Amino acid sequence: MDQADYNRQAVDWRHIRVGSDIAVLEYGVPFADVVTYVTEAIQDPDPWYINSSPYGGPIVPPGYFYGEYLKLLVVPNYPMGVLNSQLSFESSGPVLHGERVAVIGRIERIYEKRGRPYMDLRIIVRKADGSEPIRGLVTLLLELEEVAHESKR
Amino acid sequence: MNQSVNKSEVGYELPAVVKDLTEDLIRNYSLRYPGVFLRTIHVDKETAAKWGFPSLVLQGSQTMNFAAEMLFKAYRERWIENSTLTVKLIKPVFAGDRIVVRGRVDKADRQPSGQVRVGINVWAQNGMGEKVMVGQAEILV
Repeated sequence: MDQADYNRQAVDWRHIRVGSDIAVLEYGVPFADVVTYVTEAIQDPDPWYINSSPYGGPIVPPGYFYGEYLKLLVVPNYPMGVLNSQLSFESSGPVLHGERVAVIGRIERIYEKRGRPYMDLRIIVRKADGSEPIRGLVTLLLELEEVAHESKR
Repeated sequence: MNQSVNKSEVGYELPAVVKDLTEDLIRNYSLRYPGVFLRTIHVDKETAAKWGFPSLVLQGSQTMNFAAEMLFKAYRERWIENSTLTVKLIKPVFAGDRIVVRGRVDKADRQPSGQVRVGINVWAQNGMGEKVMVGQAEILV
């Protein structure tokens, strides 16, 4: 299945309820995964990510969570859209290797701009103590005319 | 690059981050996401071609990671503890290309605490020099 096939079989965006939490991913990012991520996926093996940092141990790059929205969207079989047009993230503290976090996805807004449908998805990374070191907002273009046309064939 | 300017002063240019975009680099990132079970434009050349792209397409969040790398290298714990980054992806970037991410301080507001809230204009260019991403960061330093 390719991306367009996935979007075709996914929940119709017109039926998605705004304000709902769509999924929660709970995990601790293990050392091995951080090392793989920084060496192979972003090529930034900074010592703070793999050896030690001023926070009492190596940390997970904040950017590790930028792409998690895709994992969140597929849990309820929501469309991934055709492209992301804007990404916005804030960082207010470190996440250490292995530290348990809940990554929460929430549909914040669905709207049309210049005749095209967009969805704003809120991403929250929450620690067990309730703090939220990473928060983000991802804007997805849900449909292009040519793709919508193709899906109606 | 104007290295005589302090990191918290308007005009400071951050050291650029340069990445040669191999297919492996794009796949290694995108296989972590639904590319593991979907033939996305980021992992499958046929799918990319079907969508009219000449090669694998760099994922937007991966581009943003390269901007984050630049900001982290310059501001370290300030980046981790009090920062925002917003980017708009304005043009697709493909395997085989080179991406250069740059940033320049364009705002510096001194806070009552004595710290400075720095605004940074962030952008990325492809090998042709075309802008592919534009954005803005804010960091309390």
